[in-house]
Amino acid sequence: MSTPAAPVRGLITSIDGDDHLVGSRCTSCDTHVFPTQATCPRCGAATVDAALPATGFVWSATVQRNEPKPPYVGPAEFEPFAVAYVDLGPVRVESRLEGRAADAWHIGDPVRLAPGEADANGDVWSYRFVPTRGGAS
Amino acid sequence: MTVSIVGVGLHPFGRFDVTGREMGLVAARAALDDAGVAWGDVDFAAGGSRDAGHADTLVSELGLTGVPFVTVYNGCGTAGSAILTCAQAIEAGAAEVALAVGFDKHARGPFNSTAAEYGLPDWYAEDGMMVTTQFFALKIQRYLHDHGLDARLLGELAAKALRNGSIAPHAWRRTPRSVDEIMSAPMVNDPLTSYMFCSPSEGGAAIVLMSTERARQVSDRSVEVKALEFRTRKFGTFEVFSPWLAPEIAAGATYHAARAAFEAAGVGPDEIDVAQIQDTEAGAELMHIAECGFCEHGEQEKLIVSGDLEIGGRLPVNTDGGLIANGEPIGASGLRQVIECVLQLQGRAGERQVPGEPRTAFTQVYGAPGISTCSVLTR
Repeated sequence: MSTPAAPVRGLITSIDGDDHLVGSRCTSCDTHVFPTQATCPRCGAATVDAALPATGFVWSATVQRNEPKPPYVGPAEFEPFAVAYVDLGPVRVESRLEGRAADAWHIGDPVRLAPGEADANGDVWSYRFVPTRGGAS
Repeated sequence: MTVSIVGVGLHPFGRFDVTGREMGLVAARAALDDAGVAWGDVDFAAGGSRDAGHADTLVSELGLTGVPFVTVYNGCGTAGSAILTCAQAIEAGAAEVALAVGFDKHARGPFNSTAAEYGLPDWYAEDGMMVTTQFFALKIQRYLHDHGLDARLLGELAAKALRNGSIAPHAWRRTPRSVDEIMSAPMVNDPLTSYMFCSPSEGGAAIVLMSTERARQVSDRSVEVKALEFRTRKFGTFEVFSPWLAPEIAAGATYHAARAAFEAAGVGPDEIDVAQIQDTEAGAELMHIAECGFCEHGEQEKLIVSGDLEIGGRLPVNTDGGLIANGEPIGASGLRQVIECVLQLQGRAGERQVPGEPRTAFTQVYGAPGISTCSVLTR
């Protein structure tokens, strides 16, 4: 993926109306990481911002059944949630999953990015992956 | 290596009404007694603790002899680094009698780390992804999938740990539980139930090391540290607190540390008579058995179902119940593993003694963010 053309709003950039997580791509070995970092963890070369693919597959999933300790911020009444690594191709990104029961996710399920709410500056600091159209059950 | 262990000392693991430092002192004095040396004979020390104080302050109670005392911290691998620091000082000729000590006393519940400590952004923790148990679950979930293994194996390993812990006087969890009971316990992070996890706990552990030459002069039961190898992760490993993973998962620090230890010792995995393996949860033991080289990935079921890993089996693993039965006082945990192997090699392990006079032992301690220390010990 190339450097995002649109401005980065927190963790997200929009290209032609589609939202993407913004990671980094190594200018030397093409390693992709998320979130952004200035140098490559593999070879140490400089990186550039990269819009990551917006869709992928669940690579591994579990359910967070107990409320995490602070600094976790969540609803007053804790609800178990699904957590996964989503395989986006050049990189696997850890994400909470939404859009179906927390314990109903399986390895291989197709998902797409769903950005969270923007803050007062219009920046987005949370994201979920949700079932792709037709992928919901 | 040309280093040997001449004395071991343990404060039981669990929950106690004494400070972590006091547990460290109990262990240190017990190890000195066991070695038949006085604190004044010790010319080098190293130790660590995450939550219970600075290890080098133990000199206030042990005696202000001026001894060089290095305080170490490497997460769950802290005790491995304490031993390594002592062993290398002896190898280098900088010490003759060294004490490695670890102790800890943790708050109840999972370890709570800040995002900043790991160089991570605040949103990662605030959104509920900076949870150690979650990592263990995500890693074993994929491992079971990749290798076609049944989650019930995790219940088998946890049952083994609690069975062995029930006959280890120093262990914390001493109630044996059936596989069914473990499988139907409250789920923490699927597929891991509450009985499959170790919990942070309290305890102290210490060993006295000497050059092998000197050890043979003063003791007829010393245990030789044939190899001790420490590695950090390479690119592409699957570690705790990772917002991203590489598309190809690389072999972890344990793989490299174990191979280096076997090579340095001139001993193969098939020659090991007893082993203590990091079982932060049952999935970690399952994966580490293969990472250490005791079987191929995906071949663990044979070892587990055949009873090979039991105290009377071909390769007894975690004979004192491991972390699952002892909990994890970080500063002491890796030392407990070594002490258990020493006691087994010396025939001093009581009811849990491995039969047939074991001669060769192996330990593996693993911690965040991807560190591992492995040893090969012989008698």
